[in-house]
Amino acid sequence: MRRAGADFWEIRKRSRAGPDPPGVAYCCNKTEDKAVGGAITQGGNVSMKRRDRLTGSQSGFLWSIVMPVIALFIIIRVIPVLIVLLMSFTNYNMNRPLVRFLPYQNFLRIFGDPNFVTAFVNSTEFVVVAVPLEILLGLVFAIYLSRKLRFESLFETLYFLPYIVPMVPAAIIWKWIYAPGTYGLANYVLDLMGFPRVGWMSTPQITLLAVIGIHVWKQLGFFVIIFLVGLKNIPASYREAALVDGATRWQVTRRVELPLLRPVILFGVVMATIWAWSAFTEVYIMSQGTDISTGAEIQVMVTRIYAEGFLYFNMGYASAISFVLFIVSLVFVGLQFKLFRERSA
Amino acid sequence: MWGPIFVVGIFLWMATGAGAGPAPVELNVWSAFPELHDQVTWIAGKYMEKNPSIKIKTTLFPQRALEEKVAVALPAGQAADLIELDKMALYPYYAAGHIEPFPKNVVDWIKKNFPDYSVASVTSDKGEIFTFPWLDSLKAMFYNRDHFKEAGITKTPETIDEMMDMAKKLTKRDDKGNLVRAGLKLRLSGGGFGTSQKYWCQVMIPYGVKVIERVGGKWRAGYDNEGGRKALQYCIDAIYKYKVDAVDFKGDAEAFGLGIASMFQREAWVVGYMAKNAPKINYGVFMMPKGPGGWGTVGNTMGLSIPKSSKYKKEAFDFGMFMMNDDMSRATFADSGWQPFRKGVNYSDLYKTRPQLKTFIDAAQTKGHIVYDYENIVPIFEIHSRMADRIMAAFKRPDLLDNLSGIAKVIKDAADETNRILEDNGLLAK
Repeated sequence: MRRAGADFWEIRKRSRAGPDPPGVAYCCNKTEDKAVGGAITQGGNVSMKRRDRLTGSQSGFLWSIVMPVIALFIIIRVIPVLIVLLMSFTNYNMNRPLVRFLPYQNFLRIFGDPNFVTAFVNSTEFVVVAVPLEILLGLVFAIYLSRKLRFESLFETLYFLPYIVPMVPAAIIWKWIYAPGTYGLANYVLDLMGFPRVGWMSTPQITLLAVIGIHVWKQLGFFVIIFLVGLKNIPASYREAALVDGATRWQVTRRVELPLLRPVILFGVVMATIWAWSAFTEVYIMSQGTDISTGAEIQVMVTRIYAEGFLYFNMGYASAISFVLFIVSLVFVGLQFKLFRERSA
Repeated sequence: MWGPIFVVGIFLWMATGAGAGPAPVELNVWSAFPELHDQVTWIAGKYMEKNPSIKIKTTLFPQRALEEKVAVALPAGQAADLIELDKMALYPYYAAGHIEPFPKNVVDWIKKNFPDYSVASVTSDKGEIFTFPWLDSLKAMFYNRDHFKEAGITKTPETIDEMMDMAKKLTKRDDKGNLVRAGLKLRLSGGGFGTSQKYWCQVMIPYGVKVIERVGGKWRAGYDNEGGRKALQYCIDAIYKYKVDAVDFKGDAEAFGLGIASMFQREAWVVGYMAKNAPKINYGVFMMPKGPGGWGTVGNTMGLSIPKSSKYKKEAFDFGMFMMNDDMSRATFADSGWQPFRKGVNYSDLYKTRPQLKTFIDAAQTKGHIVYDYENIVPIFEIHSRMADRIMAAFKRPDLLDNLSGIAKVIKDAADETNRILEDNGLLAK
């Protein structure tokens, strides 16, 4: 009798009669099969089929199709980043026509600016709290939904509904829920239950967590759906094989489903991180209005950039903050890729 | 062969309109406030009846969105022909050369029809007028008459100390100690700029303090002094010592309309708001109370400027003057609640239905009661907004109660920042 809780790789080895037949591509194989032109050799070593060389006209045709897209990408993405980088070394202000080159002053000012420090700390808290919550809750709900449930489509719709609601009206509704006194639903319910009221919008630490809560509530549906699709794409035979081997449901999830879901989880983590770093609308909406007592205390990086660039017109300084955000996001995402690849290895 | 070509050519020429009469003039107006947008649209209709060759199109944007749109469109020459914004937001564009200085005939008309202080507030150091002093966003105190009667208060306060004493009597709490009625609803939060404006009006002016003061030809922070510290202390005491207000309490006109604030400071538009949303509230208006250092209010100018890029400047100026004639001024005050700067307009009919509006007119004309406006310097918005961020953070610090050194530090840090901004703009007085 095979031992319970066998590792997926063990199950796979035992269930196959022999080495991988050529011409077949497997997903997530530990021996790092590579599909090149659709061919894989025995033992996972890759040998190249002789490539057909493109003729000049074929090559030209391909370039003519790809170039407009590349050009658009360069114009929309690359050039603006370069312009922002250039502006970050100037004192450009939209109200002042003269521009002076500042080799380091903007960046030096950033690290002594208490508003920037507050925004950076808040953004980091945003990422640290929101990303794990979105991924964990997304996985939990997706795994739950992947079981055969009654009204499965209804649950999927309910989870996805916040995602498709625009952020502005959603944030406005949450503002009402968090309104001070008993005019907000949250405090009204707390009061009814005999609990003390919470300063949802007046205590910066609570307000930031409340805003993160809105962000997670809004984005959760996306992660539930992508994980659910990933889970549904795992062949049922793998789960059945594990169950036959005596694995428990939790072991099937941990040893079969999650490893196979790794690329999707990586994608989810990267997207969640980027979205958390670039959170703006919910913070902006929640920090506007005369009922809102926290303003600058819950600012995040993008609201800081907005304030410097579009309220005070200090475009040079705003560009410097933008560039710092760009680098920080890049570092975070790079670390995540490295972490996932190390764990895969 | 030439026949069809000739016919096609005729059609093409007609399509270009070359053979038609002169194209109708189309003026675009950008508004930042819904009630003003409705008013401008109505006025535009009246103007177009008298001037059929002129078409006026009005567009409303949320205030911040309009400021951003103007920031991008005006330097690019793509802005509307008339832009409605606070004078303080328009001045930087004038300083950068994007706004048309007013021609002599319009300047003469303004000087004849507007109070001297309003003309001064829209005149640059070069002696040019850069915006119509259209509306006076003057602040006064609204009070709930029923609350006053219930508390046995028979008159409105004349000084800020009297106001605090009355606020203590008017404040109510429930059996759990939660504030249910603010005796004096201060502006403790919200958009930074608006908060600093109310703070300046509520406590800085009574203590004789300015946000920036002129020293020679330049400026420096005017509140890092005894008066500035007392101004902040007044608010801290209101929240934590006398507890007539709270940071976690509904605010602004909404709180007043709900009957949970007995006194609060705002502009004349609240009269229209109350008529529409809370007609049963029995309220009155009194002028800002005096303090040991001064007496006055803030009356920032809502301006109307014409960009240099406008193709129809003459028509735009003419429409601006039409918007501010006697009839249109009366209609604007009555319908929108925004107070026109115009002098010599008879509002007596209006007072019969909206008696509260009289206080705003009186406030602009009472001797000794000074109406302050923003200084015409480029970074004024940034100065006020950043000061507001610091002040709002201070409001949430109970440790500042009876903590004079803590209050002094807050004020000093804010003033240092104000001076830094002035220095960045080459405006700091040494």
